[in-house]
Amino acid sequence: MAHYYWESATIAPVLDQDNQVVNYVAIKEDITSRREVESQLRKLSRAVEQSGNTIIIMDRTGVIEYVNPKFTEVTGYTPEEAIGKSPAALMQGVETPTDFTQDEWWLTVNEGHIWQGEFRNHRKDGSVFWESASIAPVQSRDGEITNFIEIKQDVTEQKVLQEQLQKQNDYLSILHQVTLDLLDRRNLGDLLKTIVNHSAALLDAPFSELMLLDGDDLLVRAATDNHLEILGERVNRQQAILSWKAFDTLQPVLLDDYSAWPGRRETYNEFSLHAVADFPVIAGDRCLGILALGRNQAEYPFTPEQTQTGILFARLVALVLDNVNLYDSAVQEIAERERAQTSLQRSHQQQQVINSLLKISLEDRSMDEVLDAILNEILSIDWLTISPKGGIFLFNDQTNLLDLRVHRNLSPHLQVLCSKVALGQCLCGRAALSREIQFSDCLDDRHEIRYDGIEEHGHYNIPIVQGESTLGVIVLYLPHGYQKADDDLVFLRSAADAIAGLLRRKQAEILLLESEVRFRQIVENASDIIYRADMNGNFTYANPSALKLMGFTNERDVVGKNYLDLTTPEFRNKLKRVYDHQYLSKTQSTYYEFPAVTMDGEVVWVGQNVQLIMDGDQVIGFQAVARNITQLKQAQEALALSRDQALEASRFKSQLVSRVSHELRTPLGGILGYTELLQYEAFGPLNPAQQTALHNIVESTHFLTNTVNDLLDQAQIESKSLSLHNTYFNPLTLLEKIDTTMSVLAGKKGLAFHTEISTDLPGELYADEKRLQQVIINLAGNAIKFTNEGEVSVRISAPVPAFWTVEVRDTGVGIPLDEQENIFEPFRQVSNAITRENRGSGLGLAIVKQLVELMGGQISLQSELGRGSVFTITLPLINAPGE
Amino acid sequence: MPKPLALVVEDDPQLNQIFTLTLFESFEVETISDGTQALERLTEIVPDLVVLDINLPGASGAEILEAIRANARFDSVKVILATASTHQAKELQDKADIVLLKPISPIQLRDLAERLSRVK
Repeated sequence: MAHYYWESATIAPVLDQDNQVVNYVAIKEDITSRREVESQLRKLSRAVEQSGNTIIIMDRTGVIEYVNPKFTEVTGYTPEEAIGKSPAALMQGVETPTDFTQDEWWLTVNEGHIWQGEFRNHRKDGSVFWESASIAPVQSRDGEITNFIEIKQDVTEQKVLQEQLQKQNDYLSILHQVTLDLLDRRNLGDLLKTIVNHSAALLDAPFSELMLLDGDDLLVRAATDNHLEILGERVNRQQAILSWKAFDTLQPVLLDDYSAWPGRRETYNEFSLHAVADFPVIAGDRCLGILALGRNQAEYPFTPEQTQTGILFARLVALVLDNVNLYDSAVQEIAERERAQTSLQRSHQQQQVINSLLKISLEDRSMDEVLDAILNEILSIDWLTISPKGGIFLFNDQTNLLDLRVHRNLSPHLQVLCSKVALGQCLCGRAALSREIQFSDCLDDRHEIRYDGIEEHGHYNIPIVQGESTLGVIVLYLPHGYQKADDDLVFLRSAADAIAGLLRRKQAEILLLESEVRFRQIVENASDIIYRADMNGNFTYANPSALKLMGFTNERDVVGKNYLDLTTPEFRNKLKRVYDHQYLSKTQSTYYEFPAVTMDGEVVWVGQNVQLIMDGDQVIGFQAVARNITQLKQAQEALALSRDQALEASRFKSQLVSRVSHELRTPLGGILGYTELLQYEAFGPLNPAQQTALHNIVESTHFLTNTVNDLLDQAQIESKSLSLHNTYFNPLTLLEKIDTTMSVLAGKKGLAFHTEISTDLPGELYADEKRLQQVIINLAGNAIKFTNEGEVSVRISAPVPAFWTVEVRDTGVGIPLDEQENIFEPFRQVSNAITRENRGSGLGLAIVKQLVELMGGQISLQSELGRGSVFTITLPLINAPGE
Repeated sequence: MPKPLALVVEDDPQLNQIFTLTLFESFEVETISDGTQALERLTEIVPDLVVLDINLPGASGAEILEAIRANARFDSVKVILATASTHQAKELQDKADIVLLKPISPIQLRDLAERLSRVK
């Protein structure tokens, strides 16, 4: 067989001086072996073309000479596009420099070795894919490298899985780290810092910040170190639109080019952010805040995987924060417990002080000693950081001033200036008036009492208040600038309350003591006999008066003696019965009079009050206050005697008057009889002068007769021997009788006389008709007497239920106002109208009034001078007893 | 027609005379100044009118009045009681036809006596 060989010929023209080709020089090279290699290569390549691998043949300089169809399938580049370029220039793009001469694979293959590895390449459409490549040098027979052959497999899928696995690992590792950080957390700031750092690393975004909801804003709580200036910034809904959108929708919000977005925040301009992602941190159904990430690398958006990672991470953050909250509340609880412990301890200390204060009250001391002890107690409290200086005022309700009662380390000036402080004056006065603790940390305007050279200081002025009254004020000194503490105030208030109770008790004690002393003095000095006895009646105490009565000088001498020894032997049984009865019936208090025998044997009457001494419901003794009532008794007897005598005298007077009137009537009868007989000329004819004289005698006799009658009535009324004789009578008949009698009298003076009876009056009245008639006639007679013209009327009516009235009206002279009230008294007569003709005994109206009152009625008078008078008698409508 | 008989029982001689003088024109007047005597006299006569004082020596006016009212023989006898005591006047007013409280007006007495004696 003919043997062929391959030559490579290079033919060059040979030029003369004129640049004319004079000859050709051919340089030939036998390239048979190279052609064989290439031929071999193509055969091989055809063999692998079907294998599904990508095959690239590069020349010695790494430029693509050949690509198989799979290449086009995988990368999208046609052979024409690929040939003449290096694979790096074609597929690595912007990510890596195209100079590959220092790459490991190039160096490896140029040394004649096969390189195996992976490439992260871009397809024509820009998408990334991973290839596992094997690059081998192709050598000629003489060992010269002529070509490189690259056989690649698309391993993107494996690679992605691997990346995901890696990320999962990273994520787990971060989770682990974060959990560890949480466990090892020193403070929330550290944890948040860890979160942003981890998220930045995990999502390949150098800018990360964590915002948490704070009020109505999102507050930036943590940021990566590249933009720490953002820390503590608050963003509202207008400022951080993306974050708030994520917050509201609970979905991540992504943006590929933040710098080009019109809604961007200027704060971020300097970072040239491109892709940003805001992940809501969701715990339960609640958004706690936003984890925001940003990249400054252009055209590097967040992938769905990264987004998913972001969501997961944000969930982790939520979990962590929730835990943090739990932890924080635990920490808070512990802190609170500590506080409670402290305050318990404080209150225990306070209680101890108050106990000490209360103990003071148990000791038997004077008020000032008590106050001194209180002040000591307060000033020695070690946890109250006050100056060792102060005082206590007590309110003096006699002077209405605060008296400085005790003090400690007060300047001599103040001891004088503050010895008495008015209510409302200076701080102490204000505390007393307002009943509120006054606090000052310096000498302010309220500090009215001051002196030259007074040192700067503050005060607590604590009022001691009980109920509505201020008992006093405690003044404490504080260093200048002292910080008021609520604990102090609470303690001081309760201490003041305790002191108030203490002072009240002390005051009550003092009062009690005083009253005890007073009581004892009273008892000891009483002229009354005061003693106590046990339930058997044996003395347990006797005051000096009692001792004296019994003839003892010492209280001890009577102990064991019985109260019955007080009385006369014959009275003892009676006395015993009285007090046995009181003892048995448990009558609290009795009064009894009995004769007592003094040591001299004299019998005196005593009036004795006896009270039972009870223990629960058991009688354990008696307490007696007895008084010598001999004189009283004598006075009573004398009084009774004189009363009897007076009664007797009154009866006698009544009898006397009765007798006298009787004795007067008989001679009056003689006078009247003879005179009238004379008048009627029974003894012969008379001249006019004689007639006039006789008329005057008759008049005087009538007057005398009336006077006798009135005197008798008055005497009877006074001696209560006048009694009424009530009967049923017809008022009309009564009125007619009166009319008959009085009309004559009125007619004599030229006066009209009317009687009237109202229809509302019952047909029968029950009363003493004679006396009633006497009363009406008296009034009507008076009316006629004191009326010179006009008329006199008597009207009987029943204007109000259950009563009836008699009205006697005249048009006479009237009764002056100042005499009206005395008109019904005996021997009073109206001064303006008395004449010889109308004079009377002066008893008429007095008798009328007394008779009316005896009948259960009333008489009243209306009178106007010169116009007349109205006497009105009001009487009850009564029925006969038994009806 | 004979005048009616009036018995005046009154121990005071002056009043006795006054009553007599007062009544003599219309009455046959007989006067007695002692109660017991009056009672004795009343066993003999039945007067038309008795003017009786109460405080009398011997039997009292009240006893005489009692006797008169107790005896049917005296059913037509009118009694005018003349007393100085309001007390007695009240006590006896139911039994007497008229009670006059001394001092007594002769005119009044005559008037009343005449009127009473006409009422049979």
